[in-house]
Amino acid sequence: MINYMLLVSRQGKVRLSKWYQTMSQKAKAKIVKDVTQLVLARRTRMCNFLEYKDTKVVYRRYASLFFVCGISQGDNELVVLEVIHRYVEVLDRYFGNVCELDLIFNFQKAYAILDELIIAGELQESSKKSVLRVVTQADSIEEQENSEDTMARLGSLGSRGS
Amino acid sequence: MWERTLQDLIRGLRANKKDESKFIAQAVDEIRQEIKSKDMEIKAAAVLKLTYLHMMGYDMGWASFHVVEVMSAPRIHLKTIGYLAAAESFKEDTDVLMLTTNLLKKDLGSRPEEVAIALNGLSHIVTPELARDLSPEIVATLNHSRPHIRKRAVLAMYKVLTKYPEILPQSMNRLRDKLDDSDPGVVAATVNVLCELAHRNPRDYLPLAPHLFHLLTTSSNNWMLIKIIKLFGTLTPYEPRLVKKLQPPITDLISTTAAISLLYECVRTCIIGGMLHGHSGNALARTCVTKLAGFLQDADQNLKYIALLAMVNIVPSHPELVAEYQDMILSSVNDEDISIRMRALDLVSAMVSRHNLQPILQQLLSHLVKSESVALPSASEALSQFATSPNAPIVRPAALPSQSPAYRLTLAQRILALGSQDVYANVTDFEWYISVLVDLAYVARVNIGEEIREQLVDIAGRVRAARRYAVQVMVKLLSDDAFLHNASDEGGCPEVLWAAAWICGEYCSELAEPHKLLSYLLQPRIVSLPTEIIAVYLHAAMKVFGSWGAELADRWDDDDLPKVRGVVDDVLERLSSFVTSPDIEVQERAAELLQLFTFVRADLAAFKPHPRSELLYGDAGAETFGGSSSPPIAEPQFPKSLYLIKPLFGAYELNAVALTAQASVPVPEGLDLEAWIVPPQEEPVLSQDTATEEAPEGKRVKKGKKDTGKTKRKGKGKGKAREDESGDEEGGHAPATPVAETAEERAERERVSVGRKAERLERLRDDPYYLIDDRTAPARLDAPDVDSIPVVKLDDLPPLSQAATVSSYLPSLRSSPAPPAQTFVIDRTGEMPEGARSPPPQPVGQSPRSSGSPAPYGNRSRAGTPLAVGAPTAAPLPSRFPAYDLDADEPRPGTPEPIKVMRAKKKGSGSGKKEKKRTQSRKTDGSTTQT
Repeated sequence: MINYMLLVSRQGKVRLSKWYQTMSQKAKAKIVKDVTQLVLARRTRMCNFLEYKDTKVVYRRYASLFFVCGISQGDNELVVLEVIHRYVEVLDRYFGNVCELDLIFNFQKAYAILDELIIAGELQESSKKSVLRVVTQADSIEEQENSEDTMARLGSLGSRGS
Repeated sequence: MWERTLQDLIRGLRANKKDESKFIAQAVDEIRQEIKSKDMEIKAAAVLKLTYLHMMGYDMGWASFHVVEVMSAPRIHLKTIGYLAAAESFKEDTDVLMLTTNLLKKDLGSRPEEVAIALNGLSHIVTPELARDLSPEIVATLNHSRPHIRKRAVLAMYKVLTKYPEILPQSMNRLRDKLDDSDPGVVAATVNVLCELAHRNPRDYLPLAPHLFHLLTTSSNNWMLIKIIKLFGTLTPYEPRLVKKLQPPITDLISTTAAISLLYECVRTCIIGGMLHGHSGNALARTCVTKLAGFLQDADQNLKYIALLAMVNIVPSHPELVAEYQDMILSSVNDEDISIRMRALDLVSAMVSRHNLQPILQQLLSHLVKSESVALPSASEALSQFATSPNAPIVRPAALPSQSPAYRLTLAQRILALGSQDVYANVTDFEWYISVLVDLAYVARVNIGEEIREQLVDIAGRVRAARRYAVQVMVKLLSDDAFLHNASDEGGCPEVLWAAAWICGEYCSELAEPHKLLSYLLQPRIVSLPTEIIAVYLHAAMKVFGSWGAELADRWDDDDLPKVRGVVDDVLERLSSFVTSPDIEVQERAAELLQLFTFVRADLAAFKPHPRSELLYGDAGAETFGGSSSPPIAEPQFPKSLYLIKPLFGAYELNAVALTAQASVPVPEGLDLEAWIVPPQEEPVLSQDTATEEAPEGKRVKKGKKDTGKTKRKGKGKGKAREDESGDEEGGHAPATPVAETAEERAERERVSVGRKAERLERLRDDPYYLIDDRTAPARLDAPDVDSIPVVKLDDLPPLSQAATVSSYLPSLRSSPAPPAQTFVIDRTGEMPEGARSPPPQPVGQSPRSSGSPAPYGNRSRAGTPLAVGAPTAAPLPSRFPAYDLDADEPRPGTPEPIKVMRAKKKGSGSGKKEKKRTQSRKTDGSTTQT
């Protein structure tokens, strides 16, 4: 299973961090710091795996972002790479040519998409289509609720005004 | 309506990079206001902003309650924000978690969207309590009508089970049913969860095997197949019959699948699941290794990595298959990528055997050399030719990871570990291995000297046949000015000089020109070395001179006299500088040495070429000094002092000692190890003198009265013997005198003293200047018991009383008969332990002790060491002696000298024979591989 997923910019800024294991804030901060350092020091054409303490780190760089996953020793590194790739594909499809800024300004969406893909450290849904469907559904619900909301507010304003 | 949105916050952050903290403080203040708003929309926006800040590392623990509020929002998109914030920020000990129980319960029974959010959130924030309270609801969602909820429920169930395993029995059946779910996604999720759960208790999941097998053969979903195969990898060790069943489908998958991740998982399961045994297993193993070898050559570094990783596990069962790709693997050790290097290093270590140790070690060593060659382009060409194997030419980048000290250290340690594995089981040629060790000392440039020293000394002790060569190499090392010069630098490995000096001293009979070595051992420049090494140098010098002197005396020629005199004068001159060393060890040894040599010089000065009786020192002295080693010469024709030193060191040969040697030393007759040498004193701590001194004045008077009263009573009973002793000391001496006491008196005294002690302790309890030790209580109880036993008997048996008094004096009577018997026996058994039966050498004495010496730091760069010259040419030919040409000059017998390993073995009746057999077979092995 995946223990955590981090999105780290080339400058070492965390853009997303998702933990599938319980850990103290301090331990998390340490891992983020160490792993970020390790990953940023890697050069292209090196393999996508690292060993950190007794865990493995699988990372992949997409444009200016590093997608980093921590897994345990017995896990299949290649599958994790594919999971990362799947996540990036879905993001790309959802945002349309995704870039780092999209993820910064819509960080809750990035989390929501990840939640559709992975739960409890395990791949939940491997189909891009169904992930996208669920996410867009949630969007439409939000829109609907928002419009209801504004209607209600306008209504209340109107009644107050009259 | 004027609140900042998340977008505004992020923009603000990006605009205020210079004083971010100020901006954030301001933003948090706003959030604190907004989060209290009655409008759920504003509250949720505030929580969302906080969550963003939390991701950047700011605390949001204070807002937990508001997070719960947002979680309970009726609107789905706000609820999502609440759950996101909870998942990110809640910890197991967040107190508001208990408020969420009902909320979750409600959400889990609500609309599908809400169930989905709740399950997702639960998988993050679940605690044992939540799991317990919510388990009925969660189990119920496993049968939800919508597949995407069931899927989530199955995965969330995994988290719940890890937190609260007690519900496993009830939920297991439900989970098993999910394997038959109509939705493939649910089935895949179930397999995922089972795969994780099975790690903990594989046996419980064996009944699922038929089901899983069916899925394996029918499904085409690679994500799920990978998990199923992984799951079988966990199960097969517990059900060997599965192996046969699984072999065909897995072999099929390996040969047909295009997905490398699936292929890799199959290979791993084959290895972990033990499917590579037996006839069909061998075929499968070959398939696996061929596939992996394909990965090794792949341009994709990831495949290389996993191939190395997987091969490590195949080596134990099929070393020959992996060995075919040795060259490729060795070249990976040189990869630019540290991850791959470490994997390759692991694999190489696993592959080592008697047959390939030499090339592998050469290769590893060459990696250490090579980083230097980057600086020296001319040498690098030659080296790269040697190092890179023909099938995998490597483009060397500008900066290799081999420059990093941590990596160099790992590499050096690996070399040492590989060589010494199983007491040098894989080393067939110790001369070669010794040269590797020395080369390592030259090229490592990390602090590995101590380990090298241990091995050098160990080998010299264990491997008799390698001693001569070891001494030759060590002489060379000692006479290498460059090494000495660099020894104090970082990674200079000065400890190796310790080993060199020690070996030369201990096995000085192997030295070709002992007197020449003396000048190196005593050269003034060694002052820069750590003092414990200087001490060994001095000691070695003494041994070397002793051996040389004795040798000269054996074949005395009067023409040698000036030479000896010259050497002795030289030694004395050099020694004078060490006598003033600030280090006590060096100083003492130097002083000893100085005295011995002064004596020798005096003797030499008095010696006349054709003497009869002009010797200053009488025959008696010479005989004692000559001891057993000198042949009985009626009329000595040589300076007798030449025999002075050798017997001090040469009486025994130092060999390796078995670990159990000390334990197997028999206890000599009549020695009772349990008996007290000095009978324990009666709790001296509690004797009254301390108490009287510490007690305040007023109380002292009171106590003094008591004491005198008691002395009087005692005095009556005991008579003169006690008169000279003051009452205060009585308690301490009680055991020495009980003879004279009658039983009643003793009881009386004890009663009094116990009462007094109690009283005193009571007093001291209030005394602020006295620390009361609680531990005295048990001691006080014990002590009277100990001496009450002998006393009662002594009254009846007067003769024993003498023994008792003697034993109480023992510390000062070291020369009494008993102790020498003890030491003598230990000496004898020291000579004879298990070695008496097994091979020729008789392990004696102590194994060389290493004093943990801090290695000096520094950096070394150097060219023209033996290795740089020798190693490259020799690598392709494993059976040569690469690093040193030294032995080539020497006449070698046709077949190389067999090298024996003396193993420290447990003593046993049959072990001697076995040991012999083993060495025999090793002998033959050695000769075949060497020639």
